[in-house]
Amino acid sequence: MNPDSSLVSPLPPEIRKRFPFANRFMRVNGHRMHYVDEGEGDPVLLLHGNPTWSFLYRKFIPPLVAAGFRVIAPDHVGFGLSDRPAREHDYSLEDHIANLAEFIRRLGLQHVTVVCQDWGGPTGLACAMLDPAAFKAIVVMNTWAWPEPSGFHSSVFPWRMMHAPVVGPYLFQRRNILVERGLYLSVVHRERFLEEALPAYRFVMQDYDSRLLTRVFPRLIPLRSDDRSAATMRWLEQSLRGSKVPALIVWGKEEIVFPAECAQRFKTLLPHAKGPLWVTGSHFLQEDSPEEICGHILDFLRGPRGGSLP
Amino acid sequence: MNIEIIGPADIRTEKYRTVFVMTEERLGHYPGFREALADAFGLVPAHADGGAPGYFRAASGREYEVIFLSRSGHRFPSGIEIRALVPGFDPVDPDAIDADIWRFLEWLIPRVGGEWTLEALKSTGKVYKIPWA
Repeated sequence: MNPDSSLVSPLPPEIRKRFPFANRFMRVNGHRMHYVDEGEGDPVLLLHGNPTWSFLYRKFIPPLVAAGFRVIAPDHVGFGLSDRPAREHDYSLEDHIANLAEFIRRLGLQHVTVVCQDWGGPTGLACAMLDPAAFKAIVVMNTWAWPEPSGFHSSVFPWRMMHAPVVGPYLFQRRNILVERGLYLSVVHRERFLEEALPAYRFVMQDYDSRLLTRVFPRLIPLRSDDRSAATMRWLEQSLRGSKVPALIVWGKEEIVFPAECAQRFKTLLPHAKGPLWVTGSHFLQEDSPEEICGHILDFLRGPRGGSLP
Repeated sequence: MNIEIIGPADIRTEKYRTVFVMTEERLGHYPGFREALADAFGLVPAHADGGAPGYFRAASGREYEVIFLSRSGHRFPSGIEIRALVPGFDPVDPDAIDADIWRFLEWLIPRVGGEWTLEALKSTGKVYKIPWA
């Protein structure tokens, strides 16, 4: 038994029934990190972004396990059931990459397929570029890996206003807008989302302090070449450009945060990649089309560009 | 919006305690916000070393303390903490405080100016269902 596993679920029954996986914990760089680790076989690492947690991948885990994979879904430090450092200055893109790299190293993962969306992209792809020998394939969805912001991220309304000084703590932390409204606005199947998923995202963001990273992550998106994170994002783009790792691009047809040109930019960066494959989905496409996306991932991993099934 | 900057002698709340509302640790994320606050509260760098907090009164009559934070390597003030002045042992009404702070944001944004417009703030508030937007 993994000594870091928890036998007592920290989740209430109504969330547990939709997320019936063992809660595992590992101390990484001084922080307790929560993760799901199910099945056996080559690992598939599922990486979420802001403001979600591994719950976002609840419908990916059973089919991937059934197909013969070990499925690992961590919560970034600051989110989900992982620790929440209390100060804004405790968070940087580099810290998140270091946490994930250490998590992968501690688990001794090899032949990894990383599936990433939103901040799962810069963090997971950076880990793949740091240790390419450990990675078998990458799957990118609604994310980015370069220093230039999308049009959404460079606009004052609503994005930059949301996390502007003084406005940010009010909207993100006192009013919890990303969970209470942002998620809803960023899915296609909204009624289903309200019924199935919103309670789980609310559950892990119940107070002011627990919501800190929801407003810090937006500030880590570089807008100018000398912004925080810009140098790391430049390194990431350069590293990916030379990468031969098999890749799949899956994108939401209704995505506005990282619009279609971002999918095309990944295709330019990784010309050998399969895709983009377009699915019904806004920013949180895992909520909208989990079965279809899993089908694409399995087809890719079974095909010549993704390697064979374990 | 009716936010009134007041001095310590103008505080009407009697026998108050101060209750945490929120902290902004990176005023310099967009420096115009730091400059607007320093201007409105008459801050000079000397305030970084033991200077007095600022205060404001909202249209509701509730009063707030603004503590200016300093961090090595960052221009003063590097951040602010807003605390509500709550009489005696009275309970706190978070929604009433949030209504006041929204008005404070409406007061602040035009002082920052440039691309930071009241219209953009209100539109953002409406999209995200802020009741007072």
